[in-house]
Amino acid sequence: MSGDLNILSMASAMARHAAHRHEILAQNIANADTSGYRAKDLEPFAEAYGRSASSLSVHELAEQPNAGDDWRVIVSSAPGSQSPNGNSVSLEDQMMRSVEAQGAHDAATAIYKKTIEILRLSLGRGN
Amino acid sequence: MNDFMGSMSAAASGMNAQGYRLRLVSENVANADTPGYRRKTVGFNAVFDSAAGANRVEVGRVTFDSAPLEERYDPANPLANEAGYVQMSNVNLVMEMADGREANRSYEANLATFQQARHMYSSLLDLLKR
Repeated sequence: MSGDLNILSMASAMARHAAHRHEILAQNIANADTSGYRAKDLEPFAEAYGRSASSLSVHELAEQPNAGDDWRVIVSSAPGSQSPNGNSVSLEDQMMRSVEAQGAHDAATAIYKKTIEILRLSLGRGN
Repeated sequence: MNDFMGSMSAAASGMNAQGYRLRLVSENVANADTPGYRRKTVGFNAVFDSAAGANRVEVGRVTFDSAPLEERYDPANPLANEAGYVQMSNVNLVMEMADGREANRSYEANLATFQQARHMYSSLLDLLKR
């Protein structure tokens, strides 16, 4: 499937990105008291998607939906969060980020659900 | 491995580690008046669990605080040395309280992460329920 249903693959890529980002943030929070640990994050979805959309054709993406999932892990930093033991995790900052990831995931699933509903409606099988 | 399972296993290992730390804090507080007791401390390590395929946190070795033991003048005590001093523990209650508070706060952050992952997972499964 390509063309019109690109929105579905985009929504699922967004949900996968949010889930992966949440995993990385969960690791940060688990290591909030590990000495020498540096907080990580995933690059924003818009950047990653723009890169994969420009390098992969629509057909490649349609055949391999996960082909664009080469998200880069970046070292994140909140100003003033460095502890004396070298740990750079700030719990408040991580909570904000994970709520952001959760919101992105909710948005992606809502878009997916709505698109399916519209398709069903156009086929005359509303709800 | 599923990303949500990765989130949940990282959060669970974090809760486990903080719970262990809280246990050591209460052991220290309980032994604050035990003669000769040395305060226990623990460090955490970030590890990759290859069996589960997930990054987790691991509790390191328990070490004893090498700070000097508090000496109390009590010549009547059977444990007193020739000068009349008894070696008590090196537990500082204020420090233990601060440590316990921090462990508690980190535990709650892990719990919140776990609940978020569960919420996201269930909203994904809701898509199938149509």
